[in-house]
Amino acid sequence: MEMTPEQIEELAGYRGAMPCPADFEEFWRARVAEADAVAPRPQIVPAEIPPFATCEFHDLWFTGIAGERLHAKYLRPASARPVPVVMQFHGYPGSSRSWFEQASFCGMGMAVIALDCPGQGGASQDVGGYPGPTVSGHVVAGAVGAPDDLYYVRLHQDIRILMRLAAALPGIDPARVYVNGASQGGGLGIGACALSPEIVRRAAILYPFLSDFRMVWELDADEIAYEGLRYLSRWYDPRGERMAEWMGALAYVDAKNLASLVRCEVLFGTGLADGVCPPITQCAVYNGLSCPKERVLYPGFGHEEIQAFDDRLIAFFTEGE
Amino acid sequence: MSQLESNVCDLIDEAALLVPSSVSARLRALMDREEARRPPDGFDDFWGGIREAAPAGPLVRERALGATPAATYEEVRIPLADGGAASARLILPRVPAPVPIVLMFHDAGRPVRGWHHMTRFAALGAGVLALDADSLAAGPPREGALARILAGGTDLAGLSATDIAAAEAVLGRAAVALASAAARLPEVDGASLHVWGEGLGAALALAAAAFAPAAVASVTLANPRPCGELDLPHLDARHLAPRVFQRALVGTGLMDAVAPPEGQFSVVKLLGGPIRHIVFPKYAHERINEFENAHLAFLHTVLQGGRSADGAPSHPSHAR
Repeated sequence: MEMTPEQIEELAGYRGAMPCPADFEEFWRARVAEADAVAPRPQIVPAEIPPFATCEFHDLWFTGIAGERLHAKYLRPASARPVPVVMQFHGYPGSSRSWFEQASFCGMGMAVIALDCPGQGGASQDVGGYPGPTVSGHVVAGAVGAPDDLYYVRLHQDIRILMRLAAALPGIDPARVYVNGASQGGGLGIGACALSPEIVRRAAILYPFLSDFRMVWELDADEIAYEGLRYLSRWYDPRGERMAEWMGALAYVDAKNLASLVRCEVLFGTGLADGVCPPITQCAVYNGLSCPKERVLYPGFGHEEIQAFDDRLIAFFTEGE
Repeated sequence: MSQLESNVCDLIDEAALLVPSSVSARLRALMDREEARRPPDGFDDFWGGIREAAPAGPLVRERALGATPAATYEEVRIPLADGGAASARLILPRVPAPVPIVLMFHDAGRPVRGWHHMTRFAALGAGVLALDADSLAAGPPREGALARILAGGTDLAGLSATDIAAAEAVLGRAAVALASAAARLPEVDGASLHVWGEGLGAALALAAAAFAPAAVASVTLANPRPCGELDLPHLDARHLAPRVFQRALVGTGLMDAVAPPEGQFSVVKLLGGPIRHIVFPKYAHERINEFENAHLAFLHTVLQGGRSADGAPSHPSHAR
């Protein structure tokens, strides 16, 4: 059921349905240190799309936290001076989408690095090995083990590696690194900002996935992208006796908790009819941000393309820069 | 006879032909269909009154968004010969003029594409002029038939043939005038116009390619319609296709329930120039990432020194 702007306003103090783990920041300091110790071995090769005079297309490969080879699309406009870069994160369970779509950022005078999340629709390798069920989606992959074993912990570490690599690329202005993502990309974008606060300058986050897992479960929204939560409930914990254990693990990758570590300016969008990532869960993320922020609500829009939000990216990433 | 490059044969498994409903059997049937399509009576007279339609007055250009270091954004108002006007979105790259330009036509049932979406063309050093077809449906005689067509439905029951033809004329005139308008822009290379249409927009793209006085150099179509599922005889893509001889790229989602693949295959067979047809067996009437990649590669060919259907070189707008 669609929410109203007034209902969203009434949730101004809502911070999510599970507490943040007491050792959350310590946990992530250790994970970031592990990621920073990885030699990324980057490899940039011309992509199958031939270059234009104004724009080039490359495949960027690097090594991730578990030794896997990860792929990102890397597009850059022709420029004699260093250019800004947008770190682009895609929705679940897709890929970095088309070269042409990513070229819009080059049309804004920016490079773009669009990561393929491992084990999803793109070329990045997933070496697996997660404890517990893997049949029902990445959201619960590793949830029955230690938090370190979670798919999304590993992915956040991979993104930390990529962020440092990107900021150091020749021809990239390290003072203008931006983040953009919707759905899973929004949840990952929050994580990228949280775990690389010294790198990211601005972030655009649209209807983030990976948010307020307990409330998703409470609302019976544990389907579609969140279906793994219901699967784990039914097959691993049918009486709900182990919720503290596996929800406690997921809390380490919950965007509502990562939000507290974000320092950059954030533009945040929510479709009020979102039936995939319930608006209340997005409120938990937005309300957890203590950085400069602006939220735009879109009545009548669900978990779908919101052209008006995408159009705001043009000014958000270029004005005053 | 056109030259056709297609992936259809690669998708066919001989053993699966045994089952009529299999992907392979359906594709074989689509390939083997004979096409003998005659346009309706009066088709040439209809377009004779529209072809070479030019804007009825000066274009009005207004800034729409703040410019970035890489591109400018404007709304353009194009006066039409019937007294109405069409609105269009114009994005130009900030590179030395003149630049090639893509004429973009959106599908029914959705608005014109967003500014950020269309900034992709600026990345290639090309402009884009995108018709906002919904702007045509404001005010008489445009409400009614035109609004129903643009809403994306397939039910035109209750509309007279006269009303339908009037709506088709509004759309067709706007498509042709858009091409003329683009060629007149001082920043644009009038010899490097490229049309791109999705769904119903594909029919408008074909109309511009067939009837615009400005020379259109290439055509890209995604899931073209109408092709029989909607009674628009003058905008039927199957009737327009034989009048289009430019190099073309066509994408078809085989699970398309809006634009029947049978009709799309007819369009491909009836196009007059070299064609690359890509069939996506597990896609419907939707954006297809891999088709966007193919579109990008196609534009590289036609913008960076490829040749048009008649062998004439594309304008080397990015020669260095």
